Amino acid sequence: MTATQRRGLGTKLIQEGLAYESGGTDELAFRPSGVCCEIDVPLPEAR
Amino acid sequence: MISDETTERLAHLRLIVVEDSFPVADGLKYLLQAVGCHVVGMAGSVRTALDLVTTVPFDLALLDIDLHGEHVAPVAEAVRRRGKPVIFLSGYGDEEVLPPDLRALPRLEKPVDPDELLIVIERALGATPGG
Repeated sequence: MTATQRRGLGTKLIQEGLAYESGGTDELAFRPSGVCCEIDVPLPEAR
Repeated sequence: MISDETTERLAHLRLIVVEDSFPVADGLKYLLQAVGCHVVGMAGSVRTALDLVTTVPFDLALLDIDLHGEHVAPVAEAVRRRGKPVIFLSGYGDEEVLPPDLRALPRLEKPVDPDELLIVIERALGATPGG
């Protein structure tokens, strides 16, 4: 599949909201075989 | 309704938004940008908020009182040390107690009414810094 230019609420929550609220990081990739999203979130105890 | 005079005063105002919920913070940013304000920083924790208010130039700070269980008071103190006004935001039904020296500062209940927010911002700009 290919990435479109259009970005909705879901993308915003993943790309901005996740880092904002959890301090984590994520990578969203649109690949020919499908969408791949890798998310790293620190556990509260480990901060 | 908001007067033209208020709109003029709010245009180009540099604001910091400290709010632990991303959708709420983003909604505030959208609202403030719509009236010409610049949201120069957003933070969802005491640590990131302290980084912001000590490094980024701003004119006023909107501070949610409870940040995922952390009290925003240290951030409010840092904002006041820079001589800038603070407006507190508090969640409905939250038992959010402010230290005595911060109780006189303006406080809005969430969900925030847009017109009320802009009026309170304008009033805070007119008040003595830190008062």
